[in-house]
Amino acid sequence: MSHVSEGILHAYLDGALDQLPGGEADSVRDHLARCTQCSIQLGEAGAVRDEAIAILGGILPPLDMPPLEDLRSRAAAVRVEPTGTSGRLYRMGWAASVVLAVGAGWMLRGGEVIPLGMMDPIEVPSAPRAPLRSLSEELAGLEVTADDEDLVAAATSATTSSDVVAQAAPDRVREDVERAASPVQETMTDALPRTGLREMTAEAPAVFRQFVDSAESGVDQSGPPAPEESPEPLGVSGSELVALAPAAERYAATSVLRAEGRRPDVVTSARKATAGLSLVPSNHSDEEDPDRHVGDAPPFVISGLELIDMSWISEGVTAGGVRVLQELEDGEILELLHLPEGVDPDDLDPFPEDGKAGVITPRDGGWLIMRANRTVEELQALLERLDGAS
Amino acid sequence: MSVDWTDVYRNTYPDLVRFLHRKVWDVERAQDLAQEAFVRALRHEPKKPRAWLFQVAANLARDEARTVIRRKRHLTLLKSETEDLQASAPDLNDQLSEQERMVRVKAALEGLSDRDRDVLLLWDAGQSYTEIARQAGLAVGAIGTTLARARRRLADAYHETETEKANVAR
Repeated sequence: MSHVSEGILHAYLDGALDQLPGGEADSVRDHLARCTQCSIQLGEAGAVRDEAIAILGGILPPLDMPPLEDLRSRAAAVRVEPTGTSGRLYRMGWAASVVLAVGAGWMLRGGEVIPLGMMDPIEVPSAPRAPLRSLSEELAGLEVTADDEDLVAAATSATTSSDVVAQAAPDRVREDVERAASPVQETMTDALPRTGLREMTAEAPAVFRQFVDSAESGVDQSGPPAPEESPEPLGVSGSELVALAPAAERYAATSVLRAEGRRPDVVTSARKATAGLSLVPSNHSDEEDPDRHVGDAPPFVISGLELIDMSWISEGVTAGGVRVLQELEDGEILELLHLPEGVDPDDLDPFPEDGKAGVITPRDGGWLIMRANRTVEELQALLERLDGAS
Repeated sequence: MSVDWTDVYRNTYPDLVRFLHRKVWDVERAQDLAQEAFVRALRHEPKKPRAWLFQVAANLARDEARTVIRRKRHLTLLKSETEDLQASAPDLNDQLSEQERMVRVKAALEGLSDRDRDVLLLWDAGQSYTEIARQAGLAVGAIGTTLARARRRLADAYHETETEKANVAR
Protein backbone atom coordinates (compact mmCIF):
# COMPACT_ATOMS: atom_id res chain seq x y z
CA MET A 1 0.00 0.00 0.00
CA SER A 2 1.03 3.63 -0.38
CA HIS A 3 2.39 5.61 2.52
CA VAL A 4 0.10 6.36 5.41
CA SER A 5 -1.45 9.83 5.59
CA GLU A 6 -1.00 12.12 8.57
CA GLY A 7 -4.65 11.74 9.52
CA ILE A 8 -4.36 7.95 9.60
CA LEU A 9 -1.18 8.24 11.66
CA HIS A 10 -3.03 10.26 14.26
CA ALA A 11 -5.92 7.81 14.20
CA TYR A 12 -3.40 5.03 14.77
CA LEU A 13 -1.89 6.92 17.71
CA ASP A 14 -5.36 7.52 19.13
CA GLY A 15 -6.22 3.85 18.86
CA ALA A 16 -9.03 4.71 16.48
CA LEU A 17 -7.97 2.78 13.39
CA ASP A 18 -10.75 0.26 13.87
CA GLN A 19 -13.34 3.03 13.89
CA LEU A 20 -12.36 4.15 10.40
CA PRO A 21 -14.39 2.99 7.43
CA GLY A 22 -12.80 0.76 4.82
CA GLY A 23 -11.40 -1.92 7.08
CA GLU A 24 -7.81 -0.93 6.40
CA ALA A 25 -6.66 -1.13 9.98
CA ASP A 26 -4.62 -4.30 9.54
CA SER A 27 -2.93 -3.20 6.35
CA VAL A 28 -2.03 0.12 7.96
CA ARG A 29 -0.46 -1.65 10.92
CA ASP A 30 1.47 -3.94 8.59
CA HIS A 31 2.71 -1.02 6.55
CA LEU A 32 3.82 0.94 9.60
CA ALA A 33 5.76 -2.09 10.80
CA ARG A 34 7.70 -2.25 7.53
CA CYS A 35 8.01 1.30 6.21
CA THR A 36 10.88 3.36 7.61
CA GLN A 37 9.60 6.64 6.18
CA CYS A 38 6.17 6.19 7.73
CA SER A 39 7.75 5.15 11.01
CA ILE A 40 9.64 8.44 11.11
CA GLN A 41 6.47 10.35 10.35
CA LEU A 42 4.67 8.37 12.99
CA GLY A 43 7.27 9.53 15.51
CA GLU A 44 6.77 13.15 14.46
CA ALA A 45 3.01 12.84 14.66
CA GLY A 46 3.37 11.29 18.08
CA ALA A 47 5.46 14.24 19.24
CA VAL A 48 2.82 16.71 18.06
CA ARG A 49 0.09 14.68 19.71
CA ASP A 50 1.98 14.48 22.99
CA GLU A 51 2.57 18.20 22.92
CA ALA A 52 -1.12 18.91 22.40
CA ILE A 53 -1.94 16.60 25.29
CA ALA A 54 0.56 18.41 27.49
CA ILE A 55 -0.78 21.83 26.54
CA LEU A 56 -4.39 20.93 27.15
CA GLY A 57 -3.60 18.83 30.18
CA GLY A 58 -1.77 21.70 31.80
CA ILE A 59 -4.99 23.43 32.71
CA LEU A 60 -7.10 20.73 34.27
CA PRO A 61 -9.96 22.27 36.19
CA PRO A 62 -10.46 21.16 39.76
CA LEU A 63 -13.34 18.76 40.01
CA ASP A 64 -16.25 19.18 42.34
CA MET A 65 -18.84 16.48 41.75
CA PRO A 66 -22.09 17.03 43.55
CA PRO A 67 -23.98 13.88 44.51
CA LEU A 68 -25.99 12.50 41.65
CA GLU A 69 -29.03 12.57 43.88
CA ASP A 70 -28.83 16.36 44.04
CA LEU A 71 -29.05 16.51 40.27
CA ARG A 72 -31.91 14.02 40.28
CA SER A 73 -33.77 16.30 42.68
CA ARG A 74 -33.16 19.27 40.45
CA ALA A 75 -34.33 17.30 37.43
CA ALA A 76 -37.50 16.33 39.23
CA ALA A 77 -38.12 19.91 40.30
CA VAL A 78 -37.78 21.45 36.86
CA ARG A 79 -40.70 20.98 34.57
CA VAL A 80 -41.65 22.38 31.22
CA GLU A 81 -45.31 23.17 31.70
CA PRO A 82 -47.28 24.48 28.78
CA THR A 83 -49.56 27.28 29.86
CA GLY A 84 -51.52 30.00 28.18
CA THR A 85 -51.57 30.93 24.55
CA SER A 86 -50.55 34.51 24.28
CA GLY A 87 -47.26 35.97 25.24
CA ARG A 88 -44.75 38.62 24.75
CA LEU A 89 -43.73 37.27 21.44
CA TYR A 90 -46.86 38.70 19.95
CA ARG A 91 -46.91 41.79 22.09
CA MET A 92 -44.15 43.19 20.01
CA GLY A 93 -46.88 43.79 17.53
CA TRP A 94 -47.54 43.69 13.93
CA ALA A 95 -45.80 46.96 13.36
CA ALA A 96 -42.45 45.28 13.63
CA SER A 97 -41.63 44.83 10.00
CA VAL A 98 -43.56 45.10 6.82
CA VAL A 99 -40.40 44.48 4.88
CA LEU A 100 -39.82 41.12 6.50
CA ALA A 101 -43.43 40.22 6.03
CA VAL A 102 -43.19 40.99 2.37
CA GLY A 103 -39.95 39.10 2.28
CA ALA A 104 -41.73 36.15 3.75
CA GLY A 105 -44.29 36.19 1.02
CA TRP A 106 -41.71 36.66 -1.66
CA MET A 107 -39.40 33.97 -0.47
CA LEU A 108 -42.21 31.55 0.05
CA ARG A 109 -43.77 32.32 -3.28
CA GLY A 110 -43.16 28.78 -4.39
CA GLY A 111 -43.41 27.20 -0.99
CA GLU A 112 -39.66 27.48 -0.97
CA VAL A 113 -37.54 26.94 2.08
CA ILE A 114 -34.20 28.65 2.03
CA PRO A 115 -31.17 26.74 3.25
CA LEU A 116 -29.06 28.80 5.60
CA GLY A 117 -26.13 30.35 3.89
CA MET A 118 -28.08 30.85 0.70
CA MET A 119 -29.14 34.35 1.63
CA ASP A 120 -26.00 36.09 0.52
CA PRO A 121 -26.40 39.24 -1.49
CA ILE A 122 -26.65 38.98 -5.21
CA GLU A 123 -26.05 41.48 -7.90
CA VAL A 124 -29.04 43.73 -8.10
CA PRO A 125 -30.36 43.83 -11.64
CA SER A 126 -31.32 47.15 -13.08
CA ALA A 127 -34.98 47.80 -12.68
CA PRO A 128 -36.77 49.19 -15.70
CA ARG A 129 -37.18 52.92 -15.43
CA ALA A 130 -40.82 53.70 -15.49
CA PRO A 131 -42.83 56.39 -13.80
CA LEU A 132 -44.49 55.20 -10.70
CA ARG A 133 -47.76 56.65 -9.66
CA SER A 134 -48.24 57.89 -6.15
CA LEU A 135 -47.51 55.27 -3.57
CA SER A 136 -49.68 56.72 -0.89
CA GLU A 137 -51.50 59.81 0.07
CA GLU A 138 -48.52 60.86 2.11
CA LEU A 139 -46.47 60.91 -1.05
CA ALA A 140 -49.05 62.40 -3.32
CA GLY A 141 -47.55 64.51 -6.00
CA LEU A 142 -44.09 63.16 -5.52
CA GLU A 143 -42.82 61.62 -8.73
CA VAL A 144 -40.62 58.71 -8.13
CA THR A 145 -38.61 56.71 -10.55
CA ALA A 146 -38.16 52.99 -10.46
CA ASP A 147 -34.63 53.43 -9.17
CA ASP A 148 -36.05 54.96 -6.07
CA GLU A 149 -39.05 52.79 -5.68
CA ASP A 150 -37.46 50.28 -3.36
CA LEU A 151 -36.41 53.02 -1.06
CA VAL A 152 -39.71 54.75 -1.20
CA ALA A 153 -41.62 51.57 -0.72
CA ALA A 154 -39.61 50.81 2.35
CA ALA A 155 -39.87 54.34 3.60
CA THR A 156 -43.58 54.24 3.03
CA SER A 157 -43.87 50.98 4.78
CA ALA A 158 -42.01 52.56 7.64
CA THR A 159 -44.72 55.09 8.02
CA THR A 160 -47.47 52.56 7.68
CA SER A 161 -45.94 49.91 9.82
CA SER A 162 -45.20 52.27 12.62
CA ASP A 163 -48.28 54.35 13.00
CA VAL A 164 -46.88 55.98 16.07
CA VAL A 165 -44.19 57.61 14.04
CA ALA A 166 -46.57 58.88 11.42
CA GLN A 167 -48.98 60.18 13.99
CA ALA A 168 -46.32 61.91 15.96
CA ALA A 169 -44.71 63.71 13.13
CA PRO A 170 -46.29 63.19 9.75
CA ASP A 171 -44.70 66.28 8.32
CA ARG A 172 -41.26 65.28 9.36
CA VAL A 173 -41.75 61.77 8.11
CA ARG A 174 -42.84 63.13 4.79
CA GLU A 175 -39.80 65.35 4.73
CA ASP A 176 -37.58 62.42 5.43
CA VAL A 177 -39.20 60.36 2.76
CA GLU A 178 -39.01 63.15 0.24
CA ARG A 179 -35.37 63.68 0.99
CA ALA A 180 -34.80 60.00 0.65
CA ALA A 181 -36.62 59.91 -2.61
CA SER A 182 -34.65 62.77 -4.09
CA PRO A 183 -32.40 61.86 -6.99
CA VAL A 184 -30.02 59.53 -5.29
CA GLN A 185 -28.56 56.56 -7.03
CA GLU A 186 -27.91 55.03 -3.66
CA THR A 187 -31.21 53.35 -3.21
CA MET A 188 -32.68 51.14 -0.62
CA THR A 189 -30.80 48.19 -1.97
CA ASP A 190 -27.52 49.81 -1.03
CA ALA A 191 -28.63 50.21 2.51
CA LEU A 192 -29.82 46.69 2.95
CA PRO A 193 -27.65 44.28 4.83
CA ARG A 194 -26.51 40.89 3.64
CA THR A 195 -29.89 39.38 3.22
CA GLY A 196 -32.21 38.20 0.60
CA LEU A 197 -33.89 41.54 1.05
CA ARG A 198 -31.52 42.97 -1.50
CA GLU A 199 -32.67 40.42 -3.95
CA MET A 200 -36.20 40.88 -2.81
CA THR A 201 -36.35 44.59 -3.27
CA ALA A 202 -34.77 44.37 -6.66
CA GLU A 203 -37.06 41.74 -8.01
CA ALA A 204 -40.29 42.31 -6.25
CA PRO A 205 -41.07 46.00 -6.12
CA ALA A 206 -44.58 45.26 -7.26
CA VAL A 207 -45.06 43.06 -4.27
CA PHE A 208 -43.88 45.87 -2.07
CA ARG A 209 -46.31 48.29 -3.57
CA GLN A 210 -49.15 45.85 -3.33
CA PHE A 211 -48.38 45.17 0.27
CA VAL A 212 -47.99 48.77 1.14
CA ASP A 213 -51.24 49.63 -0.58
CA SER A 214 -53.12 46.90 1.20
CA ALA A 215 -51.58 47.81 4.50
CA GLU A 216 -52.52 51.43 4.06
CA SER A 217 -56.05 50.66 3.03
CA GLY A 218 -56.48 48.37 5.94
CA VAL A 219 -57.20 45.38 3.76
CA ASP A 220 -54.65 43.19 5.35
CA GLN A 221 -54.67 43.66 9.05
CA SER A 222 -54.68 40.03 9.90
CA GLY A 223 -51.34 40.04 11.63
CA PRO A 224 -50.88 39.62 15.34
CA PRO A 225 -52.51 42.29 17.46
CA ALA A 226 -50.86 45.65 17.80
CA PRO A 227 -48.63 46.23 20.80
CA GLU A 228 -50.49 46.79 24.01
CA GLU A 229 -47.91 49.19 25.25
CA SER A 230 -46.64 52.25 23.49
CA PRO A 231 -43.04 52.18 22.44
CA GLU A 232 -40.46 54.52 23.81
CA PRO A 233 -41.16 58.24 23.59
CA LEU A 234 -41.36 59.19 20.00
CA GLY A 235 -38.90 61.06 17.97
CA VAL A 236 -38.79 62.30 14.47
CA SER A 237 -35.21 62.28 13.41
CA GLY A 238 -33.75 59.55 11.28
CA SER A 239 -31.82 58.11 14.13
CA GLU A 240 -34.84 57.96 16.35
CA LEU A 241 -36.76 56.26 13.63
CA VAL A 242 -34.15 53.58 13.67
CA ALA A 243 -34.38 53.21 17.36
CA LEU A 244 -38.11 52.99 17.31
CA ALA A 245 -38.72 50.26 14.86
CA PRO A 246 -36.88 47.47 13.17
CA ALA A 247 -36.25 46.51 9.61
CA ALA A 248 -38.06 48.85 7.29
CA GLU A 249 -37.70 51.95 9.38
CA ARG A 250 -34.10 51.24 10.12
CA TYR A 251 -33.23 50.76 6.50
CA ALA A 252 -35.27 53.73 5.41
CA ALA A 253 -33.67 55.96 8.00
CA THR A 254 -30.26 54.74 6.98
CA SER A 255 -31.02 55.69 3.44
CA VAL A 256 -32.31 59.04 4.56
CA LEU A 257 -29.01 59.76 6.18
CA ARG A 258 -27.16 58.58 3.13
CA ALA A 259 -29.28 60.85 1.00
CA GLU A 260 -28.33 63.69 3.29
CA GLY A 261 -24.69 62.86 2.84
CA ARG A 262 -24.29 61.71 6.39
CA ARG A 263 -22.59 58.53 7.30
CA PRO A 264 -25.13 55.79 7.88
CA ASP A 265 -23.10 54.35 10.67
CA VAL A 266 -23.89 57.37 12.79
CA VAL A 267 -27.39 55.99 13.00
CA THR A 268 -28.02 55.08 16.56
CA SER A 269 -29.76 51.80 16.54
CA ALA A 270 -30.79 51.11 20.08
CA ARG A 271 -31.29 47.51 19.17
CA LYS A 272 -27.81 47.07 17.88
CA ALA A 273 -25.89 49.36 20.05
CA THR A 274 -27.14 48.23 23.36
CA ALA A 275 -28.27 44.73 22.76
CA GLY A 276 -25.56 43.21 20.70
CA LEU A 277 -26.20 40.53 18.16
CA SER A 278 -26.57 37.39 20.08
CA LEU A 279 -28.90 34.55 20.67
CA VAL A 280 -29.17 34.14 24.36
CA PRO A 281 -31.78 31.83 25.71
CA SER A 282 -32.66 32.41 29.29
CA ASN A 283 -32.94 29.15 31.09
CA HIS A 284 -35.98 28.68 33.23
CA SER A 285 -37.19 32.08 32.29
CA ASP A 286 -40.61 31.12 33.53
CA GLU A 287 -39.16 31.03 36.99
CA GLU A 288 -37.44 34.35 36.61
CA ASP A 289 -40.42 36.12 35.14
CA PRO A 290 -43.79 34.78 36.17
CA ASP A 291 -45.38 36.69 33.33
CA ARG A 292 -43.47 34.59 30.88
CA HIS A 293 -44.19 30.96 30.28
CA VAL A 294 -42.69 28.60 27.82
CA GLY A 295 -46.20 27.61 26.97
CA ASP A 296 -46.75 31.08 25.59
CA ALA A 297 -44.58 30.16 22.70
CA PRO A 298 -46.11 29.48 19.36
CA PRO A 299 -46.19 25.76 18.56
CA PHE A 300 -42.68 25.25 17.30
CA VAL A 301 -42.48 21.75 18.65
CA ILE A 302 -42.63 18.69 16.46
CA SER A 303 -45.01 16.22 17.95
CA GLY A 304 -43.64 12.76 18.48
CA LEU A 305 -40.15 14.02 19.21
CA GLU A 306 -38.91 14.38 22.72
CA LEU A 307 -38.81 17.95 23.95
CA ILE A 308 -35.50 18.63 25.61
CA ASP A 309 -35.77 22.28 26.26
CA MET A 310 -37.77 25.34 25.39
CA SER A 311 -36.66 28.77 26.41
CA TRP A 312 -37.27 32.37 25.63
CA ILE A 313 -34.49 34.42 24.23
CA SER A 314 -34.10 37.27 26.59
CA GLU A 315 -31.25 39.33 25.28
CA GLY A 316 -29.98 40.75 22.08
CA VAL A 317 -31.90 41.75 19.02
CA THR A 318 -33.62 38.40 19.08
CA ALA A 319 -35.17 39.02 22.48
CA GLY A 320 -38.65 37.63 22.45
CA GLY A 321 -37.71 34.70 20.26
CA VAL A 322 -38.01 31.11 21.24
CA ARG A 323 -35.47 28.34 21.24
CA VAL A 324 -36.52 24.73 21.26
CA LEU A 325 -34.36 21.64 21.45
CA GLN A 326 -35.82 18.29 20.52
CA GLU A 327 -34.32 14.87 20.30
CA LEU A 328 -34.65 13.12 16.97
CA GLU A 329 -35.30 9.41 16.77
CA ASP A 330 -31.63 8.54 16.56
CA GLY A 331 -30.61 10.75 19.46
CA GLU A 332 -29.46 13.72 17.40
CA ILE A 333 -30.51 17.14 18.59
CA LEU A 334 -32.85 19.28 16.53
CA GLU A 335 -32.62 22.98 17.24
CA LEU A 336 -35.51 25.25 16.36
CA LEU A 337 -35.25 28.99 16.72
CA HIS A 338 -38.10 31.33 16.15
CA LEU A 339 -36.85 34.84 15.66
CA PRO A 340 -39.37 37.55 16.26
CA GLU A 341 -40.53 40.10 13.79
CA GLY A 342 -37.99 42.62 12.71
CA VAL A 343 -34.99 40.42 13.26
CA ASP A 344 -32.72 40.11 10.31
CA PRO A 345 -31.32 36.58 10.43
CA ASP A 346 -28.14 37.73 8.76
CA ASP A 347 -27.52 40.11 11.63
CA LEU A 348 -26.97 37.18 13.92
CA ASP A 349 -23.63 35.74 14.79
CA PRO A 350 -22.77 33.05 12.30
CA PHE A 351 -23.65 29.62 13.44
CA PRO A 352 -20.69 27.44 14.35
CA GLU A 353 -19.10 25.50 11.56
CA ASP A 354 -20.29 22.26 12.99
CA GLY A 355 -21.36 20.69 9.75
CA LYS A 356 -25.02 20.92 10.62
CA ALA A 357 -27.47 21.87 7.94
CA GLY A 358 -30.03 24.56 8.52
CA VAL A 359 -33.12 25.86 6.86
CA ILE A 360 -34.87 29.12 7.44
CA THR A 361 -38.42 29.93 6.62
CA PRO A 362 -40.71 32.84 7.41
CA ARG A 363 -43.10 32.00 10.20
CA ASP A 364 -45.64 34.01 12.14
CA GLY A 365 -44.18 37.30 11.06
CA GLY A 366 -40.70 36.22 12.09
CA TRP A 367 -38.33 33.53 11.03
CA LEU A 368 -38.09 29.89 11.91
CA ILE A 369 -34.64 28.35 11.78
CA MET A 370 -34.14 24.60 12.01
CA ARG A 371 -30.71 23.11 12.48
CA ALA A 372 -29.60 19.54 12.94
CA ASN A 373 -27.12 17.02 11.73
CA ARG A 374 -29.33 16.27 8.78
CA THR A 375 -29.53 17.08 5.11
CA VAL A 376 -31.55 20.05 3.99
CA GLU A 377 -34.09 17.68 2.50
CA GLU A 378 -34.48 15.89 5.81
CA LEU A 379 -34.93 19.20 7.57
CA GLN A 380 -37.61 20.11 5.09
CA ALA A 381 -39.35 16.86 5.91
CA LEU A 382 -39.16 17.78 9.58
CA LEU A 383 -40.59 21.17 8.75
CA GLU A 384 -43.48 19.44 7.06
CA ARG A 385 -44.00 17.41 10.19
CA LEU A 386 -44.10 20.61 12.15
CA ASP A 387 -46.57 22.13 9.74
CA GLY A 388 -48.66 19.01 9.82
CA ALA A 389 -48.86 19.20 13.57
CA SER A 390 -49.84 22.86 13.65
CA MET B 1 -32.04 -1.03 27.85
CA SER B 2 -32.03 1.22 30.90
CA VAL B 3 -29.15 3.60 31.48
CA ASP B 4 -26.95 3.21 34.54
CA TRP B 5 -26.86 6.89 35.43
CA THR B 6 -24.47 6.41 38.29
CA ASP B 7 -21.98 4.95 35.87
CA VAL B 8 -22.65 7.60 33.23
CA TYR B 9 -22.26 10.34 35.81
CA ARG B 10 -19.01 8.98 37.19
CA ASN B 11 -17.47 8.48 33.76
CA THR B 12 -18.81 11.48 31.91
CA TYR B 13 -19.04 14.34 34.38
CA PRO B 14 -15.27 14.93 34.66
CA ASP B 15 -14.90 14.85 30.89
CA LEU B 16 -17.81 17.20 30.50
CA VAL B 17 -16.35 19.71 32.94
CA ARG B 18 -13.01 19.48 31.19
CA PHE B 19 -14.68 20.07 27.83
CA LEU B 20 -16.76 22.96 29.11
CA HIS B 21 -13.90 24.58 30.94
CA ARG B 22 -12.04 24.95 27.68
CA LYS B 23 -15.12 26.55 26.22
CA VAL B 24 -16.12 29.02 28.91
CA TRP B 25 -12.81 29.41 30.78
CA ASP B 26 -14.45 29.59 34.15
CA VAL B 27 -14.27 26.56 36.42
CA GLU B 28 -17.42 27.29 38.36
CA ARG B 29 -19.36 28.09 35.24
CA ALA B 30 -18.12 24.92 33.56
CA GLN B 31 -19.35 22.89 36.51
CA ASP B 32 -22.66 24.72 36.52
CA LEU B 33 -23.17 23.97 32.85
CA ALA B 34 -22.13 20.34 33.25
CA GLN B 35 -24.65 19.96 36.06
CA GLU B 36 -27.29 21.69 33.98
CA ALA B 37 -26.61 19.25 31.14
CA PHE B 38 -26.99 16.34 33.55
CA VAL B 39 -30.19 17.73 35.02
CA ARG B 40 -31.64 17.92 31.54
CA ALA B 41 -30.37 14.45 30.72
CA LEU B 42 -31.91 13.00 33.86
CA ARG B 43 -35.16 14.65 32.98
CA HIS B 44 -35.22 13.34 29.43
CA GLU B 45 -33.25 10.10 29.75
CA PRO B 46 -31.78 10.06 26.24
CA LYS B 47 -30.88 6.78 24.63
CA LYS B 48 -27.26 7.74 24.09
CA PRO B 49 -26.52 9.74 27.21
CA ARG B 50 -22.85 10.50 26.66
CA ALA B 51 -23.24 11.83 23.14
CA TRP B 52 -26.39 13.64 24.20
CA LEU B 53 -24.66 15.28 27.14
CA PHE B 54 -21.81 16.57 25.02
CA GLN B 55 -24.22 17.91 22.44
CA VAL B 56 -26.26 19.77 25.04
CA ALA B 57 -23.09 20.95 26.78
CA ALA B 58 -21.75 22.32 23.52
CA ASN B 59 -25.00 24.20 22.99
CA LEU B 60 -24.95 25.56 26.51
CA ALA B 61 -21.36 26.67 26.07
CA ARG B 62 -22.17 28.32 22.79
CA ASP B 63 -25.04 30.21 24.35
CA GLU B 64 -22.76 31.16 27.18
CA ALA B 65 -20.18 32.51 24.83
CA ARG B 66 -22.78 34.66 23.17
CA THR B 67 -23.83 36.32 26.34
CA VAL B 68 -22.14 39.65 26.29
CA ILE B 69 -23.07 40.38 29.86
CA ARG B 70 -21.69 37.08 30.98
CA ARG B 71 -18.50 37.78 29.14
CA LYS B 72 -18.08 41.08 30.93
CA ARG B 73 -18.74 39.42 34.24
CA HIS B 74 -16.17 36.83 33.38
CA LEU B 75 -13.58 39.47 32.66
CA THR B 76 -14.33 41.04 35.99
CA LEU B 77 -14.01 37.65 37.57
CA LEU B 78 -10.64 37.07 35.97
CA LYS B 79 -9.50 40.43 37.22
CA SER B 80 -10.63 39.73 40.74
CA GLU B 81 -9.07 36.28 40.58
CA THR B 82 -5.79 37.86 39.63
CA GLU B 83 -6.10 40.27 42.52
CA ASP B 84 -6.89 37.39 44.82
CA LEU B 85 -3.87 35.53 43.59
CA GLN B 86 -1.66 38.47 44.22
CA ALA B 87 -3.05 38.70 47.73
CA SER B 88 -2.31 35.11 48.63
CA ALA B 89 1.41 34.85 49.15
CA PRO B 90 2.21 31.14 49.64
CA ASP B 91 1.30 29.74 46.24
CA LEU B 92 1.67 32.97 44.39
CA ASN B 93 4.14 31.78 41.81
CA ASP B 94 2.34 28.54 41.15
CA GLN B 95 -1.01 30.21 40.81
CA LEU B 96 0.22 33.02 38.64
CA SER B 97 1.94 30.47 36.51
CA GLU B 98 -1.27 28.51 36.21
CA GLN B 99 -3.21 31.61 35.34
CA GLU B 100 -0.68 32.56 32.76
CA ARG B 101 -0.74 29.08 31.30
CA MET B 102 -4.50 29.21 31.03
CA VAL B 103 -4.38 32.51 29.20
CA ARG B 104 -1.84 31.09 26.77
CA VAL B 105 -3.79 27.93 26.15
CA LYS B 106 -6.92 29.95 25.65
CA ALA B 107 -5.17 32.20 23.15
CA ALA B 108 -3.76 29.22 21.31
CA LEU B 109 -7.16 27.53 21.13
CA GLU B 110 -8.81 30.69 19.93
CA GLY B 111 -6.39 30.73 17.04
CA LEU B 112 -7.92 27.54 15.71
CA SER B 113 -10.92 27.40 13.45
CA ASP B 114 -14.19 26.60 15.18
CA ARG B 115 -14.29 23.15 13.68
CA ASP B 116 -10.69 22.26 14.53
CA ARG B 117 -11.17 23.52 18.09
CA ASP B 118 -14.40 21.60 18.60
CA VAL B 119 -12.92 18.38 17.32
CA LEU B 120 -9.80 18.82 19.42
CA LEU B 121 -11.75 19.58 22.58
CA LEU B 122 -14.12 16.69 22.06
CA TRP B 123 -11.17 14.38 21.62
CA ASP B 124 -9.50 15.89 24.66
CA ALA B 125 -12.66 15.16 26.63
CA GLY B 126 -12.39 11.50 25.74
CA GLN B 127 -14.89 11.24 22.91
CA SER B 128 -14.30 8.52 20.36
CA TYR B 129 -13.75 9.29 16.70
CA THR B 130 -17.25 8.06 15.97
CA GLU B 131 -18.77 10.32 18.61
CA ILE B 132 -16.72 13.29 17.48
CA ALA B 133 -17.73 12.75 13.88
CA ARG B 134 -21.35 12.56 14.85
CA GLN B 135 -21.28 15.73 16.89
CA ALA B 136 -19.09 17.75 14.55
CA GLY B 137 -20.97 16.64 11.46
CA LEU B 138 -17.84 15.22 9.86
CA ALA B 139 -17.04 11.85 8.35
CA VAL B 140 -15.22 9.54 10.73
CA GLY B 141 -12.40 9.33 8.22
CA ALA B 142 -11.87 13.09 8.47
CA ILE B 143 -11.38 13.18 12.22
CA GLY B 144 -7.74 12.07 12.15
CA THR B 145 -6.85 14.69 9.58
CA THR B 146 -8.69 17.38 11.49
CA LEU B 147 -7.03 16.38 14.74
CA ALA B 148 -3.60 16.32 13.14
CA ARG B 149 -4.05 19.84 11.88
CA ALA B 150 -5.59 21.10 15.12
CA ARG B 151 -2.83 19.63 17.26
CA ARG B 152 -0.10 21.07 15.09
CA ARG B 153 -1.69 24.51 15.06
CA LEU B 154 -2.31 24.43 18.77
CA ALA B 155 1.32 23.63 19.45
CA ASP B 156 2.52 26.31 17.03
CA ALA B 157 0.21 28.93 18.48
CA TYR B 158 1.17 28.03 22.02
CA HIS B 159 4.86 28.44 21.22
CA GLU B 160 4.15 31.74 19.54
CA THR B 161 2.70 33.07 22.77
CA GLU B 162 5.88 31.91 24.48
CA THR B 163 8.01 33.80 21.98
CA GLU B 164 5.90 36.90 22.35
CA LYS B 165 6.24 36.73 26.09
CA ALA B 166 10.02 36.44 25.79
CA ASN B 167 10.14 39.42 23.45
CA VAL B 168 8.09 41.49 25.87
CA ALA B 169 10.37 40.49 28.73
CA ARG B 170 13.37 41.80 26.82
